[in-house]
Amino acid sequence: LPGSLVERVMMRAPGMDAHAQAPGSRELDRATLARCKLRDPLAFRAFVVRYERPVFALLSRMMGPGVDVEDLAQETFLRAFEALSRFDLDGPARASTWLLTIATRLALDARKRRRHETRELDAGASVADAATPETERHRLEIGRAIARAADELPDDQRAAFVLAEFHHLGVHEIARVLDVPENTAKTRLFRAREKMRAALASWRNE
Amino acid sequence: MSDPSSRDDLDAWRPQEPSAGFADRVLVRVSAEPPRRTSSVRARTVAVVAALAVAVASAAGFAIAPRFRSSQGEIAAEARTQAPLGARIVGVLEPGARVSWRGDELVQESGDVFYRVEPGAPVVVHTPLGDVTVLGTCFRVRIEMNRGDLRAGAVGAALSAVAFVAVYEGKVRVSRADQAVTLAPGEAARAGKDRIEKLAGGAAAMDRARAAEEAALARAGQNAAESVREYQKRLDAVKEEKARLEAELADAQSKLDAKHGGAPKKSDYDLAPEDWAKLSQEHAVKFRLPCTLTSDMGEWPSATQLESAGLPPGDAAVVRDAWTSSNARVWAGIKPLCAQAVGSADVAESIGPNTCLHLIVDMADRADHDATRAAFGQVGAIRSGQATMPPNPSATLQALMLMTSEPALVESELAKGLGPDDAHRLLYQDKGLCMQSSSWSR
Repeated sequence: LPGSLVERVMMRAPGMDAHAQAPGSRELDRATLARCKLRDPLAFRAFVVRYERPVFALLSRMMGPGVDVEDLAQETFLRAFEALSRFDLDGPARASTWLLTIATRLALDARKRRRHETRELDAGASVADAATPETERHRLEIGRAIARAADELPDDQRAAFVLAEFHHLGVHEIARVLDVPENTAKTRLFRAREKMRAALASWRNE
Repeated sequence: MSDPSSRDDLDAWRPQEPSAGFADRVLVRVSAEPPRRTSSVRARTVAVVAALAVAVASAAGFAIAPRFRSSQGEIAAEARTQAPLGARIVGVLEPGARVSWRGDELVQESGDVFYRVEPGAPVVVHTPLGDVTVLGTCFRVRIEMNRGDLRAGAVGAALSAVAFVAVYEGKVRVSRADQAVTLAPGEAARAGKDRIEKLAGGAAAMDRARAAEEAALARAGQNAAESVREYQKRLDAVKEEKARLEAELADAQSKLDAKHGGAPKKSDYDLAPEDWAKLSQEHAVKFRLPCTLTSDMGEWPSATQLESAGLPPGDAAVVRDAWTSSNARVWAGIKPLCAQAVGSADVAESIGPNTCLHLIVDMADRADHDATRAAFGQVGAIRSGQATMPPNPSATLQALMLMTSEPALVESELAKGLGPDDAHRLLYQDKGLCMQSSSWSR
């Protein structure tokens, strides 16, 4: 079933997605960010609304779905609110990457504090568009297989994989998020993709 | 990830979506928790900025509550004030309004409050005249004390007070004891001491009904001219209701024709110059345009949605781009008019295009009903070629011209990718993609 994915994960070279923009990941405009820096509540609300989906996406894929995700997401935005005054509007980091850095580090800390309880991941629970039952089942199986494979990755590799594949960060940005040299980030991403490929190939052959 | 099927595979690992009201819960915590690692210099800066913000807001005649409220609290507005009322509700309180809240239950003791409620569990606004139960919506509650009560003090005032409820989005149920009415967008109700009744003419009728209440109080001194004006207002409301029912009847007739294999009927919103001329005489406008796309709609439109609209999956980008452009155009035009109407760009931003449009028209109608009615007539006259745009158009005329010009712009953009026939069909067919149709009169 997931053959096409296995092949593409295997073939993708580290860094080829560098600076790719996620579809629909428009940054908040500069004027609103400037108002956020001044702790304008309405502007900060707009900031949360704009970035809540990518933050939830990253945290849920790092932690698995559950109550922890909402708590960590709230903590992410609280820390962002505290730190926004120091965010450089003219600096190299996009606001989304800066925020995902906070979220990633919170998730890595949380995973260190406790080994994540294995759950049955309801990866396809809300498959949209009234797909046929067969298609829906197929997507559910793929989603679960990817989630299980990612759950086997070491935390830093999992973070690199999620940031690259779902948030379209390049190696340079991943290195900054994880606070490691670029070559280290490249290696982690490469190994993550290798392991995902192997795990998914094994699942395919079951 | 340039290969779409690969992207599709990866997307099968579904992330958790933010729950409703997440942003407001964050803001409540931001407000409730003391700053962490805040230096004294920064703390002073924050205090100065906050003070400046409040001062600027007050100077502009619009106050923004300086702190976010927790899950319970109370607020009494001396100036127009925007404030979160719990986790999922934002209120704009007019001077004299008083509201307290605990969780999703609010008590509005007095005044005029515009509410925006994020979708989620039901929210109840208790008033002295009854309860208002809502899901995600925008609505307004105004409680009028009669002047005798105000002179006598608060005791027993509720017995002769009147509450008005107007709905801009969503659905609202107004209830008391064994009586209840359900209000849809554009509808309004009056809750007096004896009964709850719907007001023909919607939110604008709230203001006309207020005038009627005052007229009743002073009827002993009224002269014949005032009575005539009052009857004229009632007649307007009846005409509006008649127009609405006629539109519903035409829609039902169209569906019946289609069911029985009749020739496809031209959409009521597909307007020729002669249609506009007729609408002008009725002081009515109609338009049909793309709905507002929201982040929770995901990758819209899906293949299934396109298929039901008779389009292949490859047309998704054309449709999405046309909807996005339309949303941006409408908001770019409506937002400054809305900011002017409500006196704050921030409030305009927070209430969005649909509610803004209603507010622009309702507030203008409240200020000058005759001018607003004339603006409705002007739209049809201009669109039918009988008149030209005046040099200094009112906000109502600008807003209505903007909305009524949008269908042609969307159709033109769609036609570039789909061809003229599909573009026209997509815009006006009954079972189309996400569209909003509006039919207003004054």
